[in-house]
Amino acid sequence: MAVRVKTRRYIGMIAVSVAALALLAWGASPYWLSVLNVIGLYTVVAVGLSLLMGYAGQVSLGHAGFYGMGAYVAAVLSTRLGWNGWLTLPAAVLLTMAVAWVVGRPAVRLREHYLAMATLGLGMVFHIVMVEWEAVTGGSSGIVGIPALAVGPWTVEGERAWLILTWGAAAMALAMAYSLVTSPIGRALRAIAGSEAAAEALGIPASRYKLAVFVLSAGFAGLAGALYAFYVTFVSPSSFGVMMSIQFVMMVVVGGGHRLWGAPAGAATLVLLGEGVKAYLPALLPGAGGEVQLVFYGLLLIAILLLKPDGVLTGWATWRRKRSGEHARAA
Amino acid sequence: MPGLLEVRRLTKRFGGVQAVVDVSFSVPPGILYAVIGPNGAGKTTLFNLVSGYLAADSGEVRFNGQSIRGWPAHRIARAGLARTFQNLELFPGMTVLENVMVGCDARVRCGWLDALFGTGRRRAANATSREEARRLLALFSLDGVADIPAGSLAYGMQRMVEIVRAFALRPKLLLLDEPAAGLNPAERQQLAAVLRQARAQGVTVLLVEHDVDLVMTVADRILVLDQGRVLAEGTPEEIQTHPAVVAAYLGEEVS
Repeated sequence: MAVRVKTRRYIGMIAVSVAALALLAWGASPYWLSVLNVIGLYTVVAVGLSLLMGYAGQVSLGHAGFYGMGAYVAAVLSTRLGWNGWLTLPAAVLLTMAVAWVVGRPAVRLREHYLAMATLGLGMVFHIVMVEWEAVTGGSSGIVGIPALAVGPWTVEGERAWLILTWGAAAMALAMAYSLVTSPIGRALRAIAGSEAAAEALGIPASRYKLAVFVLSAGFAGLAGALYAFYVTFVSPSSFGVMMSIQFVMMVVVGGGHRLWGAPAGAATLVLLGEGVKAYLPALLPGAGGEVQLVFYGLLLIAILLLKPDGVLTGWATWRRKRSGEHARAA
Repeated sequence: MPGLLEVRRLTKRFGGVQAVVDVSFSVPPGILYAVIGPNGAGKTTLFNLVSGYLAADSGEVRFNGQSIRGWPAHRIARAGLARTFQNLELFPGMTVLENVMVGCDARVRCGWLDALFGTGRRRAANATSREEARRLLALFSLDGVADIPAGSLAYGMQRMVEIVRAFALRPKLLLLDEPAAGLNPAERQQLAAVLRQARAQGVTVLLVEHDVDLVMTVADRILVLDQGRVLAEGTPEEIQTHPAVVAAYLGEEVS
């Protein structure tokens, strides 16, 4: 299931990605830059979730809750308590991880889908708290006027400046995840996904590792959420519902959870699909409203999963293998 | 001299079924100890009780001088008691080398922060495990399949890999649950070689086996279980002539 990753290949891909991003940042319109920023933020969430799903074999249906929690921690601390924006980032990450630890501890001891159920409930609880705890969260209208992140006299403003932060965070998340999955702990996580009984027999405390990777993935979601709060400068509960959690899971599934590059690929696929349907469907199908768009979005996702059940990168990986195989034979 | 593994009056019931009743035995270090008995005699239950996969109702399990009853399986493994499974439990998507590396990883030092931030300790741990796994595969003549996904190996080969993977923990005691099940004669010979190699490395082996002929040739001592109780215990010669064993078990197998 899990793929052996080659450092050289990764360095090549990173170089290509950075070059492509730089080119896009230079030439793209503000709209496309904002799309790229959102993909970058979602990539951070999807990387963490793919560690949980693809490497430890667990599902979380509540990651929008952690994403929202990170956003609200950043928003509340920076607007109501006047914290420096940068300081709210580690606070958001640590608080999200602490909540994940409390919720995950009982759930990972139980097998199979308990974590999925527990996190689904958790996501709903978060959403209700965001709506109802008006004194702190501002209720359904949320919190506006989140100050910009600043470095000395410069503030991080505008889509281009944000690309550095969102994709910097995505690159950091990918680098950490890569380092993790190619370590003894990464092998242990893959072992747990392969056979929990055998992993235990080799001295791996399976539930402790599952909890740790769940907490880690929540931390990534919390970081992405906090950055999102500063990026859009306001937060409201509607951005962090159960549908968003399912979208995060879809990103990992569409990207192929056992491949780290699946995270950005899946995030890009879902965002571009959503934007594409919004932009082109009304032209093809006059009068197509939001519901029809949603139906098309769903149908296209189903089509992708039927055509690429192992993730959108499948064909590409086979092509690489075939090419390197021919290369080896020629040599 | 106390045994490496001491089991005292161990009992386990499933509902009304008495799976293991008052079983006591002692495995001295350095020998190959076999547990035999017909299907449903409680062999695998006994195994799961000793290795922490089932909780005993009563009795005591001492390993290397410590009471390990109630310990979680991973702690028992780290204490030096490794096991294999009757139904193969390899990590199918990982290569043979990676499977064995997971066993070697139990002895390297690499925490979560090392892993996430790619410290030198992570690099050293990976190198140590890789080197050790390669050495073990060579020792057991499995180096030819090191880079093949474990799930695509032939059945018999998977069994050998599972034993080598357990061996990678450098256990004091190796528990093998019916390792010869489903093997063809050639593979059985290979298995016997693997067992001899394991013993040559100084590992004590506790073997649960259905195949009496194999047990008689490799075991130093034998425990015979029948309906969850100890029927007899002794050397292969003693077991072969034990009246209760001959009557209850060997008689029908041999005839």
